Amino acid sequence: MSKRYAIDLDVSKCVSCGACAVACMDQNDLNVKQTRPFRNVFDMERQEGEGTTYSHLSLACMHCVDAPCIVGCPSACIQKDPETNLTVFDTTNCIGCHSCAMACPYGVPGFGPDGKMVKCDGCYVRVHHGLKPACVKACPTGALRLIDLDGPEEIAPENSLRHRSMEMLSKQV
Amino acid sequence: MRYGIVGFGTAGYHAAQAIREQDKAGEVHVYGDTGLAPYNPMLTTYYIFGKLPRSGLFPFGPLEEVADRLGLTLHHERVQKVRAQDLAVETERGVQRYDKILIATGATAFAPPVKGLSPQDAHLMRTVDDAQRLKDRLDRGDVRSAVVVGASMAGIKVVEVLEKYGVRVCLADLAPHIFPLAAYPEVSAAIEKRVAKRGIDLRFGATIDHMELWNGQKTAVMTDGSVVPADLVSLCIGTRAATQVVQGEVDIDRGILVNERMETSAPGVYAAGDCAQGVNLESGEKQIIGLWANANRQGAAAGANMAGGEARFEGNILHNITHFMDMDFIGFGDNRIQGELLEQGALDGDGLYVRAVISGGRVAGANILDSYRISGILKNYMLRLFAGEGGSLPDYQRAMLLQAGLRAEFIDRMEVMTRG
Amino acid sequence: MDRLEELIRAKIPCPETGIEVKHTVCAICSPAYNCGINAYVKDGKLLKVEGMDEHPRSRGGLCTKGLSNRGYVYREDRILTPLRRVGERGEGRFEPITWDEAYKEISDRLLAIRARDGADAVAFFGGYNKWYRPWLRRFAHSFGTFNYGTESSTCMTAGWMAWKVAAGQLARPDMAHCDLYLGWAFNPYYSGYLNAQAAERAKAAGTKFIVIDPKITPTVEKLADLHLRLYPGTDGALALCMGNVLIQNGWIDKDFIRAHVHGFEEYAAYAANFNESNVERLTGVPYAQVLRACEMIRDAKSISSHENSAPIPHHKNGMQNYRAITALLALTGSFDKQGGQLPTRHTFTHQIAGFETREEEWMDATQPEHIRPAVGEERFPLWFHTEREMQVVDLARQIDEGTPYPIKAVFGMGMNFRMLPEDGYLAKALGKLDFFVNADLFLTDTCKMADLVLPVCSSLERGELETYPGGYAWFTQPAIDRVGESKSDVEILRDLAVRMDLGDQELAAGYEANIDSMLTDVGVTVEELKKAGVPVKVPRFRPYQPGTRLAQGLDTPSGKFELYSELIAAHPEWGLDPLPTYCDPLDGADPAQYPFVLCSGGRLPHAIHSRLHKVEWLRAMQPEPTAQLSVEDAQALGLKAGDDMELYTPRGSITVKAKPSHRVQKGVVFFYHGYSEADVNALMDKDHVDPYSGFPAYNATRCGMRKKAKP
Repeated sequence: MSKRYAIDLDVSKCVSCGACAVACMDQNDLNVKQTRPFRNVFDMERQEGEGTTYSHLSLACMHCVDAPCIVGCPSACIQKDPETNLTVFDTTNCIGCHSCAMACPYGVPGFGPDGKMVKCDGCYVRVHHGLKPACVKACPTGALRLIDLDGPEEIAPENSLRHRSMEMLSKQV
Repeated sequence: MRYGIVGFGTAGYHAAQAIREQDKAGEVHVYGDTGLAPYNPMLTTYYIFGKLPRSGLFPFGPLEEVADRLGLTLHHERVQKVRAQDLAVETERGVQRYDKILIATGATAFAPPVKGLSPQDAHLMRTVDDAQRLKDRLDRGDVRSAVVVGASMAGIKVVEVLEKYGVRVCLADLAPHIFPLAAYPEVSAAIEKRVAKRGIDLRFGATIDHMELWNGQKTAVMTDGSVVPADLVSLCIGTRAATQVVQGEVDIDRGILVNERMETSAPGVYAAGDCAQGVNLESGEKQIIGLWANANRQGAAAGANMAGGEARFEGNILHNITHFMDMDFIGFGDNRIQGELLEQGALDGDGLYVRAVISGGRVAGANILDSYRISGILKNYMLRLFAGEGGSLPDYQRAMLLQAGLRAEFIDRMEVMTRG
Repeated sequence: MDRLEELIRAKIPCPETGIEVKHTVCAICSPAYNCGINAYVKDGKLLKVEGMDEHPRSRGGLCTKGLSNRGYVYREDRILTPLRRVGERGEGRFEPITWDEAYKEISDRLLAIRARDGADAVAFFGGYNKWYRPWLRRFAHSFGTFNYGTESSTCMTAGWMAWKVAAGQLARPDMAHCDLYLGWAFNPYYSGYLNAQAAERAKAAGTKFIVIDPKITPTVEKLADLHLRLYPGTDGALALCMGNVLIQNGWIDKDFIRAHVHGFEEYAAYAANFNESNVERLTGVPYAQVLRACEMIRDAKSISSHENSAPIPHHKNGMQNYRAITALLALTGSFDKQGGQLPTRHTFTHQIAGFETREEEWMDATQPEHIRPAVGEERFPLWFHTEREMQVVDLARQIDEGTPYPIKAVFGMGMNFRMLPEDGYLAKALGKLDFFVNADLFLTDTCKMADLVLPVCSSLERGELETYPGGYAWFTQPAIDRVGESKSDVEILRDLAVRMDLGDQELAAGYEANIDSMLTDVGVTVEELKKAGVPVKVPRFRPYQPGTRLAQGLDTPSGKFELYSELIAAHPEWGLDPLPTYCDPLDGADPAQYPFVLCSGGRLPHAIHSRLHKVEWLRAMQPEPTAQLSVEDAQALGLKAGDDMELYTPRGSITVKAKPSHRVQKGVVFFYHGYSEADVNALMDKDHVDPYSGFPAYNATRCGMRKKAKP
């Protein structure tokens, strides 16, 4: 039974601890000297008037329903996994043109030492086997979730990174 | 329902796919004269370079596989005419009528004739055949010098290929600079410096006038009177929308005029891809934006609407990323618009350089060197401003830009200058 | 990519890939956690870790640090064989030798020194982790000396000492049942996610949180109903003022005090010195907020308080501040009461699991006669009185000065000289030793000083006993092949005890036999635990009934909770105060020259001590040693994020990256410890220590900051 999944962040629960990023590196054998981590963790603060607001983020591929990177890739390396609808890739024909990076409004795609695109694939093979994506499994505060887009709302829209970025995403071509 | 798709590049492919998502039963007839699966003209130089096998030119797989997957009826024949009034497609074999027709004939490379240039030494760079021809020629190993005319994205990729084959290359353009349609003159100059440093002979304000034989060496005589040895000449001057089949049937400017539903002026006839002229979101005018992603979006919208759906593709801005000779050049928007300048990084240094021109509270144009990482977010920001949104970056975009090396001052200033 | 390739790349445990999931334990941080790991293993190699769902305490969780276990276990500088130094000390040139050669040399040298200079001339130093400590302590005793000491000379113990002085034993918060939690330096999001999860559950159930912390941490953001933002090391003044406000307003439990508290009048009289007139000046916290906190205490049916290992104790007034904090629990009748602070004891290796083993009895069964003072005993008498081991803070001095007697050799296990203040002094002292052995996983800067280096294995490569709150016990099995020829610390101690013929049959019997004897009263054996495979509740676990200890009378001279310590009062020669008196936390450097307060106590979620700095995955989270300073100070110094800056004290200077942040208050700079290339402890003063506990004042040292000029 095919599902439509995405990985979403409850920004109210994230504390920028980085557990997700490390779990991702372990899962994907990431050589950090050569390749930028797939998950980007931010501990942010912004001064507005008298007050300062603090916010926390863990950002990797958002597995957009209508993913601009898929449309932008000249070699059709990026595709939707039919079982999970996660945005997966086969970079056999990747030419390293960076078009996917120009398409992605989250700044997500990175490139390995071979010049080919790499990014979060949602651990789709783990998901096929009933396992959670490594980052979701690792998140100690339950901020990162594998969400079923056709299921009930798991994260309040005002705290959901996915929801909060939908308007922005709709403008990307 | 019977759908006719004339031309089977990526726009036609995406239309067929969108039709199939909504209409599993309808007949989808696809007309193409190449007998090839949809291919990406941008990949041709990568194939010659050796980065891709020939099969890599066809991102969606071989033609039969595509036809199978999408349930298409293929017509390997040249379309002579599409009659808009009665939704008919005419070929040598006869006339077929459809309920909806998509024109997705793409564009063709054009080049004026060059006196004295033997046809076997003249090369274009658009089609799979063009690529194969140049590759075969280079693989023979007898090309020692070449002139590439057209300092465009295609031109520079041909130069890169020739360089790899050890060919002495001269890149010429009548324009004063490289990438004249996308780069700011200062950025062009920096790129030219880097290209020249690799031993590429660059000539601007000049193009090829004619060919002569000098001491047995085929030689290009340039419009400024200078001479360059040229065993072959690659003409990367430009492309033209292929609109002949609907000439006189629908409204055509430079391309087939379409609205955001990809409808032409004739009911039931749609157009998408490089033959179509949609909206430039920056100028609000209709303009051909001949980009792969644009063709995909247009094709998908057209297909969805043809099958009775409701899809809109509002338009696009000019945007380009060219990865060549170990550098990235990214150009967004209209590089002719003047305004207030925002700049970070040094043009001669390595690492991130970005130059944005702000005009009327919008980012009118931007050039980026050597940082693909900020490109998607910056483009998104431009698009949101053109859509009338106020200028502020959400925290996740801001964080990614900072991580990629864009300075807070740049972002803050850009936000202030675009804050309605 | 074919299906099998896809499965292998995704590390799916299944017959096709041959990947198995094995249970093991993370020992990167404190044994108070020891979270369960599901190790993905193939052919004895670790491929991936994740949290162990079958674990009753960690329940599938692992933190940032624990998730890096593969990077940790296979760190590039793992030691593969025993090594003998061939270069100069510190140079790092070694030759591999056999275990037999190593044992012979250690045995010969240590026995010779004992014969010539006495057993006390050898110091036994345990670093981190703690799993082997009972064995090392017993080994030292069997060798004939009290000169066994550990990293706990600078971590946690001061808090336990404060409790022992006040109540005769440790106590821990009953967060799950409390109305109000006093989160002194409480930031579990960085250093104990299980505590963070517990706090979130408590908050959801209505518990209020006051967080007392100089920094605006994620805990302040997420949990604090009130944040008291004090200056580092002023916790005692704040707590005394709170005590005074509670007393002045009658918001105290008079019946409890009458029945169970000793020294109330003396305490009240002293605390009166901390009031509206001076609390903001002393601590930075406005009086109105202190009052607000006290009102919250008044309105709470029960309060409990965060116990912490470092932030409060790492000050020259650390133990006294800790006592001042625990006093609030006595004043409000929150000691030994549900929802308050519950007295407890360690079960095993500093884990509090709610049942008692014979660990303490076992490790002290071979205590020698106490003739010469242990290292640090004369300087920190209260320390030795409660801990009966050396205070390692004084080790460098004794090696250097040779008084009251010379130290000729150090046997270290995971010893790291960088943990001590002004650590160059210890490094230099180590150079004077006749013989220095260190056992470690990695060839650290300290190992490079040693004559012999022994390779030890990680928790994934050995089996060991774990205990967990709620009465759980577990005996792990090795999950992966050992790296190189490494052995477990306890195997090394057993082998050496045999080789040196220490005459200790228990040590010679080995780990599992020892554990069985420690588990005698628990009602379970190693064999049974091994068979269970996962943590199980021990048969004789009985949850503690609050109030039991008070009814029995506390293990203090007065039998009561002592605000005025009769133990300390009985020893005027120690020169310590029976009351939790307060003094300024800073050192004597000239404030004009060193106007800032350097605090190495701010934690990073991806680091603990120095052990993870060389794990590339974690280092990628913040590649450069980075100091957090206030935005105001950064502006005044012309510093922007990422600029190079110098931190300096009279001892020297280090270069770090600047990170201005509103999380930090003006005048304070936070910089994490343990970087070889930017060693903050080199800036500390070796004599800026707490006379009660001996703990170094890592968290408040006067310093200067400046922008580093571009070369």
